[in-house]
Amino acid sequence: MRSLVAFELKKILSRRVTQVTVASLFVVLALVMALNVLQQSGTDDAGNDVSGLAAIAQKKANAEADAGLVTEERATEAIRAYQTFFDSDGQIDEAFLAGGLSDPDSFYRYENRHVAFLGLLMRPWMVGYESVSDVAPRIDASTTVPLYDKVAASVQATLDNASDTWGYTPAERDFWMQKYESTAKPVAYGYAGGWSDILSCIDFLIFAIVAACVAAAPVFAGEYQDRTDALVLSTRHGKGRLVAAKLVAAFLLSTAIYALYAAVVVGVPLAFFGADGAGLPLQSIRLSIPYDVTMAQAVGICVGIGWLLTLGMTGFTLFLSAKLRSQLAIFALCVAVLLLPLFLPTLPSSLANHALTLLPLNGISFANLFTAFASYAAGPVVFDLQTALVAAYVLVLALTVPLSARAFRRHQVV
Amino acid sequence: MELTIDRLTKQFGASIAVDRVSATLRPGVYGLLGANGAGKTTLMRMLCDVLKPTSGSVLYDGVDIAALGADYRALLGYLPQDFGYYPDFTALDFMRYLASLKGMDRARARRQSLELLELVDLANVAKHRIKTFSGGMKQRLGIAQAALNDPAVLVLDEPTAGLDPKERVRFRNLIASFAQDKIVILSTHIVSDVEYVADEILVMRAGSFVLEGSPEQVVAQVAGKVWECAVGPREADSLTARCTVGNAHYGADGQVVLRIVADERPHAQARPLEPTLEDVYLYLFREGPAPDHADETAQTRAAGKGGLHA
Repeated sequence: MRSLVAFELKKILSRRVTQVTVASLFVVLALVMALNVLQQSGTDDAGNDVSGLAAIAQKKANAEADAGLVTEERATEAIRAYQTFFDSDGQIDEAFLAGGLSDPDSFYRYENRHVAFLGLLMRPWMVGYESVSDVAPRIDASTTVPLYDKVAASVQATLDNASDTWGYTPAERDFWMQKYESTAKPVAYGYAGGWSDILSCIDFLIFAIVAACVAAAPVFAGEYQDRTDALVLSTRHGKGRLVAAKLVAAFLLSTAIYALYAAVVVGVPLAFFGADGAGLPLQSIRLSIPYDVTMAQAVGICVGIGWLLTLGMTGFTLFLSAKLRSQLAIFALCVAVLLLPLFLPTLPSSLANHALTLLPLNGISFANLFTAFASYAAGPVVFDLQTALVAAYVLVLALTVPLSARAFRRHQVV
Repeated sequence: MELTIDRLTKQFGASIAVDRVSATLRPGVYGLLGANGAGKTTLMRMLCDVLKPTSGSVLYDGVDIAALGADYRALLGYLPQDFGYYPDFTALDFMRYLASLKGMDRARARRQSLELLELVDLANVAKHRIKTFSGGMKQRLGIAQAALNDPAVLVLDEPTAGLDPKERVRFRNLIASFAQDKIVILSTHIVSDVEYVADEILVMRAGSFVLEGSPEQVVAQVAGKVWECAVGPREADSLTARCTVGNAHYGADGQVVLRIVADERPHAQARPLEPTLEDVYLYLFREGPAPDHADETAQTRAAGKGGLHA
């Protein structure tokens, strides 16, 4: 069996299309991740524009300056300190604008250093695309701000005001509120640049799924196209062990491709942004996130779900490969499934949007997985997107693997 | 050991590729002759368990091969027509891969692979990639893989395609050496491939067996129907248009010597010749309806190695 798996791997890897696709997408992904580091920009304390590693260092210094538990008292102090830059009309006092970034007492200098932390604190008060300077003057910080009540209220408002394109049942609203309330408070804040960068780039793992699909496409169809089907199917193990070896090889290879690509998506940010903040709660990037997990755990969940999506799409591709002769048709169908969300706007039907969210491109999005309150209700039972994805792709695998094997075993050489 | 083909039929839509073919095959070399489209390849695919019959069955020692499954395929060696290969595999890889599929252990697989590559004169290129091989080399590799597991039933579909005359002779000798105690079914439309090596000839036309027997018995079916005459070019054209001409030789004296297969003496000067298997082939596959007596002869059961009934 082991030698059959090795031969099947050799067959897949010797195909020029597979080699070129896997290598090209890997290079593109590596470039994207490198540019993600190089294109970091910011302003240092002296008012100079900085980029790349210097910008990362500045962001780290800024976050570390505000590190600590985000109690409501501390939030109140931070908001009050920021509000001192505003006059009674809510405008920034001219006196603080004069010196620019080089002036240690200037508004710009203060905001440059604390804007990330202030954004985290004031987000529950923000409407639409308001910035911290828009919202700060109207926050009543005369007494301790009820930060976590405000966050809970914003979560409730999100659920209550959801449009018809993604409706929530009462059971779903209860589910999300309970989930939010179960998160630990007060939240710890600090620097977790590497982890947050991974989460913002996790969507690029779609490249791994594309590469895995391309690698899996010829597993069965290649035998039909190359007219080797008659040869292998007439052998003792042609309809038994060979099928198992093909499936094992395809899933091993798709896992290897995914691991390679994931190593870049995870490794590059950790190498350049640092691995600090692994234990910080996910709420350190947004207080309303209803998951009680750390930054590193969130990355683990995203990577794990991405792997499952890769296996699921590999299973789907193998099924197509066993049923169709044309690898072009297989590529076309896989690309359609993978890229459909790019071309479809939000649909009027809530059901359709729920279905679309299960497609790989949506499923591998950090926003959908953790911040979008995406859930699926079956009567009183509610599943969040993470659970729904696991169930859906385990089901895809449970269906496509035996169906692929059956289709190849029953293939008729004509 | 007995392979029984029982009313085997394969239909593709309205077209019948194999039409209720029956035969009983015992160890020996069976030459399956037929024109392109006669149904030979479809029949072979069904014998090799890669194509399901529309009706009928194939029995190995009385058991349906569909029920035997892997146990039957373990006894099988198959060279498909126009067979595919893996271009980036070396010849040795290819043999070892097929050996794994045939359930051979690693040591035996390697030993037998090397022996067979030697036998088909590919030992010196055993570690070369198949994509660098000529058509004849690929065909020899195909023959070698078919013999890998020392099969009890060896099915070779157009095995000599792409082989030069020297390689064809070598192939015939190879078949003779493999054939001990095996059922070897060799399909071809090249008569000389089976003329000397086959114990039995099966002639297929329009999905059915139309003639069967030992080469001598089969050849005897056209005794008195093969003629030779020397005529002028104009008359030669006329005879070619009217009759089945097996050979035309243009002599230096301007005369054309024709070998003609016909029921009646085609020309007053024609003299009878000893028939060959090629004459039988030409007679059976001449344009127009199949000769009536071919059906009759098909009813004649051959004793000896096996019998068939179409």
